[in-house]
Amino acid sequence: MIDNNILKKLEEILSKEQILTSPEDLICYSYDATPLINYKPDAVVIVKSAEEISKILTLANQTNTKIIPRGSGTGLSGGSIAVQGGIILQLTKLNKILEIDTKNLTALVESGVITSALQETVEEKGLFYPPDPGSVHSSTIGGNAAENAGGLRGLKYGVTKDYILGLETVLPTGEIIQTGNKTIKDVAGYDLTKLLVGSEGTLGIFTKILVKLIPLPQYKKTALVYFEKLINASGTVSQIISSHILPCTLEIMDSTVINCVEDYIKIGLPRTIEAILLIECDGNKETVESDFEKIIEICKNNNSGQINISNTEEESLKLTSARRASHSALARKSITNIAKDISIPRSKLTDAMTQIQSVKRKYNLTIGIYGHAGDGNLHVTALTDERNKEELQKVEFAFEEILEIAVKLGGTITGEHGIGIEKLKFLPKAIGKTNIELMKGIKKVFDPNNILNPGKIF
Amino acid sequence: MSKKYIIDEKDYEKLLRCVHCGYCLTNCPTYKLTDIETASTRGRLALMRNFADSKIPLSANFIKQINMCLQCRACETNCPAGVEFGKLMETYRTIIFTTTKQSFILKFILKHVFPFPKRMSFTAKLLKYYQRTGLHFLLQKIKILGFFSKTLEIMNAMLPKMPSKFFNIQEITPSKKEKKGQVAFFSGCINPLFFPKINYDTVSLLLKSGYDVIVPPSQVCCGALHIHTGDQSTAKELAKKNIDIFLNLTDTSAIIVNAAGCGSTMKGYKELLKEDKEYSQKAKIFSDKVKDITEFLANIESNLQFKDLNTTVTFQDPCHLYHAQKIKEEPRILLRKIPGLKLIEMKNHELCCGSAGIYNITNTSLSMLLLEEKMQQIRLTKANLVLTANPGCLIQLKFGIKYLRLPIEVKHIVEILNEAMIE
Repeated sequence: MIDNNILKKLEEILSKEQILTSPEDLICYSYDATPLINYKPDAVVIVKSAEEISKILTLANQTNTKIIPRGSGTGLSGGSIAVQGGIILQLTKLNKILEIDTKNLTALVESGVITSALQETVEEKGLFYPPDPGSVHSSTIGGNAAENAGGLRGLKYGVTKDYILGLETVLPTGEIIQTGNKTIKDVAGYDLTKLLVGSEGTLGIFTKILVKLIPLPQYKKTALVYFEKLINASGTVSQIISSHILPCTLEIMDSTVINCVEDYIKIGLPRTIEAILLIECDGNKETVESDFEKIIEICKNNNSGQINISNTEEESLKLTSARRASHSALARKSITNIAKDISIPRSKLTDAMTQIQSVKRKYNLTIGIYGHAGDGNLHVTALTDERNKEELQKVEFAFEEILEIAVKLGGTITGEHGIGIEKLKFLPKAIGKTNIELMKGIKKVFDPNNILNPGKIF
Repeated sequence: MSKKYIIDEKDYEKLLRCVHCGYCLTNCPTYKLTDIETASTRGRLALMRNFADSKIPLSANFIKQINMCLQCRACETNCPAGVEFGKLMETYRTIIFTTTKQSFILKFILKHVFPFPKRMSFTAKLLKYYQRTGLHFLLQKIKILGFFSKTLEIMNAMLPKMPSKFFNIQEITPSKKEKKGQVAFFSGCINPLFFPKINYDTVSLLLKSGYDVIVPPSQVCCGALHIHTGDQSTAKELAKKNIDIFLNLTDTSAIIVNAAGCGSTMKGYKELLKEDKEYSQKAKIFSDKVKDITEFLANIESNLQFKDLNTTVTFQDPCHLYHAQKIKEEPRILLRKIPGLKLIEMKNHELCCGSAGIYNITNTSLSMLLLEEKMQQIRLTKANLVLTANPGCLIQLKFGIKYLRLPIEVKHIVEILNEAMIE
């Protein structure tokens, strides 16, 4: 329940329609896209400007009120959930694309702009904003920035952090700061922009984002390749990378996922093979064709089965649908899907996947693996049912082991979904106590009273 | 305080499917207008689940949110987990309808007017005289209705020009072409009285394609309005009547419909009457025969010939064609067959125009906001004709064009297809 004094103060800053306190509203803001995590906030505020946010944070600091920033609430680690109560600030009304600078190849957007809206708008001008997380049609660029979202194009194009040149941020203490600018090189002081991106809403609330754009690639070729044996698929991945070819997409699906996808979209995927690779190259036509020839050869050298190549945009979409349908296919298979996205060095792909299969058998669970083989980021998804408490417990144990596997292989416990509250307890093992203390120190500088998104990361 | 209502297991399973990924937020019209999660598909599902778990009562706020939903089902198109949101909405609307106080006028119209073709016809005659006497024109000019209710004023302005004669099956000449088969035609309850030309054009298309058309005179309202409002019992009665009437016809390979709302509802009869011992089998046969006119024409083997039509058009997909029946390409396949016709897609062509059954009456301001947005998108295409495939959408779009005085025509797709199709 929200304190009446705070409510009165909020009513001075905002209009009544912007403040939500009914039981029904609080229920609707108790979740994001993370399964099984539910905490009601004390109130929700739909903000319209950086000034409003600044006033609210100033008030929050004076009164020790917890504030949780939220975009569309599509995060997968509990980042926008009010675990310690407090007031959620929904930022989606800050949704204007303010400027597209075709000379400097940048765009200035408010943080509540939906990522796909930004992509469509710049593509009309022949420009490209590559990061494409699965939620691209519903998530906000601000949310992507807070979580440093990835996507299928990460291997060649990088992630959200690589495309953010500057931010306007409201600090937990209420001041509005500007970091970064339109230049490509800038070493004036510590790089606060890079620190803030990926800080999961614990160091500040983004209100404006300056993104870098690149020219839109002219040509694209896609291949869907079947592999009898997993080890051949991962061998192919390694060889492609070591041949200095950078496909824009290099995705893998294991047999569990293949079967779920075939059940769902029925396009004739073989059910008994161990892996499928989706490979895409984009850019200048000659380079794409030549790279593709090399890729096909590598596949054949690694005992690939059938190779399906696209010759048109339409065919390309059809082939990619197999991979893009993975998330949906798994969601339709079971009531509850618990997914964790580990990241391992590419050379350890086979080791990771084989060891995960052992864990799967040990606990007798249905676990599917799909993801960005090219950059080593895998989505490990357990298919279960939230009503089966016994199985949920086994899933938790299984994931503990899987995250340990990732760390032991020299990788990390989360490539793109973030720590949030979901992986809090794994962080010390993953990065060590000293690093955590440094992070806590930084947090204290930004947020001395710990009012902004407390209870996340550490 | 409402009585306790138990959600049956099948509906509960539907609720569990939601993984709250938020992909539905992309296209939910009420979420896009308000930016409030409670007014989104995902939010409504959370409330539905909490109610089913007895964690919240049937509160005023809960009811408001359920009633604010347009039931456009755009969310279903985006949902990776296949949540049957349309069905869940129908369940919850039924709970609200049967356990809380409803508007007397609404209940009266649903139970005592719509199911009776003669009474519908009588009402249409009254509206005709209302227009003929000049009263309609006068009330629009004086704007006095706005003092009582903005909704009433808009409803009055939306009333289309009543036709001089209603749809009459006796006036149809049988086809002279070589017969490919025979189909039944569901005439609906709005088109015959408000837009009879659409029905004549639909029948004409079928005759030209080589199909004889039977229009059973005793057919009744399909029950779409009843399903969406929660009056499931009347909807079931209407369904059974129509099933009996149409299944008694011999040698009809399809039941053709030109209203997306009706098509969707009738395809849903098999689900509606699944538990009915006497009708479940018959409902399935009936539903499987129902075909939208665009769906039918795009899939028959006839070599349909079209003459040149030099015009630029854009197509507004009715929600109950695109999302509910998943008929997306067929209207476009047909339009592309017309030489000289340029089809320009408007942005968000698959998003609701705000008509949504009687939403423009029950939630007028939100409906108008959606219409405004829709008009903007239509303008940007620079088309001189906007086509759709449902009378509700037609009424809404015509109103938008009239209100903004745009030099754009609004027609049902069969009108342009019939104009272009050669015998």
